[in-house]
Amino acid sequence: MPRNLEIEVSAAAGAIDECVVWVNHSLVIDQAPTATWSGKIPSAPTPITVEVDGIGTSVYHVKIAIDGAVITDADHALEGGIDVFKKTV
Amino acid sequence: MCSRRLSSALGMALVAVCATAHADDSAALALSPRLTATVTNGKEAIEAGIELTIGQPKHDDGAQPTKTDGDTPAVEPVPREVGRVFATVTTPFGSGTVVRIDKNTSDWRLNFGGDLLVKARREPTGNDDADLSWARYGLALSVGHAEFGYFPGAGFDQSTESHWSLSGTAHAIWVHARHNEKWAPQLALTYDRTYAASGAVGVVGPALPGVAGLVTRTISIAPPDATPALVARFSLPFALWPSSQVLLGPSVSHAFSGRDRGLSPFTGDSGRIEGELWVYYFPKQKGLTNVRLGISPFVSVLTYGDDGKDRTSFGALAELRITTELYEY
Repeated sequence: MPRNLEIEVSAAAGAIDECVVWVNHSLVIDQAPTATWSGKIPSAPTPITVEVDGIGTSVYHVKIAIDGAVITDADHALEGGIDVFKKTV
Repeated sequence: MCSRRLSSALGMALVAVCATAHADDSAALALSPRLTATVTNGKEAIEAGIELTIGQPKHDDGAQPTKTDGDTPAVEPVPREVGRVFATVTTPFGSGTVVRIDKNTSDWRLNFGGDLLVKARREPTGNDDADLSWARYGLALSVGHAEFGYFPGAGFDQSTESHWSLSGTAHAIWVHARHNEKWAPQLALTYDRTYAASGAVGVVGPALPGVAGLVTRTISIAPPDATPALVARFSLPFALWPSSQVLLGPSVSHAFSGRDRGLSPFTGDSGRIEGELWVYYFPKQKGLTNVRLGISPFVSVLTYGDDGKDRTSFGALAELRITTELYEY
């Protein structure tokens, strides 16, 4: 049974240049400086990859919710101007 | 002349505020407002208009990722092309000419142009193979109209002339954004033919017995001039310390200037090369992106001809730029 996925990526502190989100290995959004996406995903474990590009040690925020339940809601720091965050839901 | 250029450049501050709000994320065509404010040492201009983004990927509610091949990452890069066209009007709210890296602005201007953004995306396995590089290629045209008044022969009858000015820029930027690696070589080629008022001069009245002549008026006594110029610029911002909020940006440009009111910049009047070394600082802040403070020393050297300035001049430039726009670096 498909599930509803909501993803929100935002700048927390610093210069965020671009946000890229992959869901189940498909590129679903590539946007700056923030990105939000919602859609249906399979009931099977689904990988999510968030890529963020910016300057230095900028901080971004990722919020992921499945069927309205928040899975993760936390800040992440760029390392060397870039960061990759992965989560399987 | 050198000291005048130095003091002027030291006092220069450039503020550019660009605001872009995408009207509809789910549409393939996104219409957005475009707003820029520029301030340089008491010479200010506002640019306002719209831009249209073409090819932004759809991500409708209810969309379902189609690739379901287990945990195998996509192997082939996914080419991405996004276009943007814009039309804006620039109007000064101070006086004089606003000089920016890519264009000169005098009185009101109509600007239009477009960009093509090209990205190659591949899902990364971690930070080490992440690659968010992109390239942008664009053209921008600008036309404007201004009226100039002057007093021929320092007389009392004012003459006025109206002229159209124009400029055009072709630019390309390649941004390499990988882990611990960020550099962005860029090229810009600008043709500019902008009318500018002749310099004001003091008019000295006749001497009276026992009293020296006094400056009675400071006016332009010659018609405006228009020097066609072609400026080629190469810049290379890069992150020497990738974990800091600082970028370095060496830049070199050469300007070819032609005869007054001519069309060709290659009539041999003068040429000038200029080198700059920008230090950009990106302060941490919430919400906006691309807040950039910059300062740079510069040196300018006459390469041929005579432009009425010192052969070598130097000084410093300062810039404050705030933008939420997608493509500007």
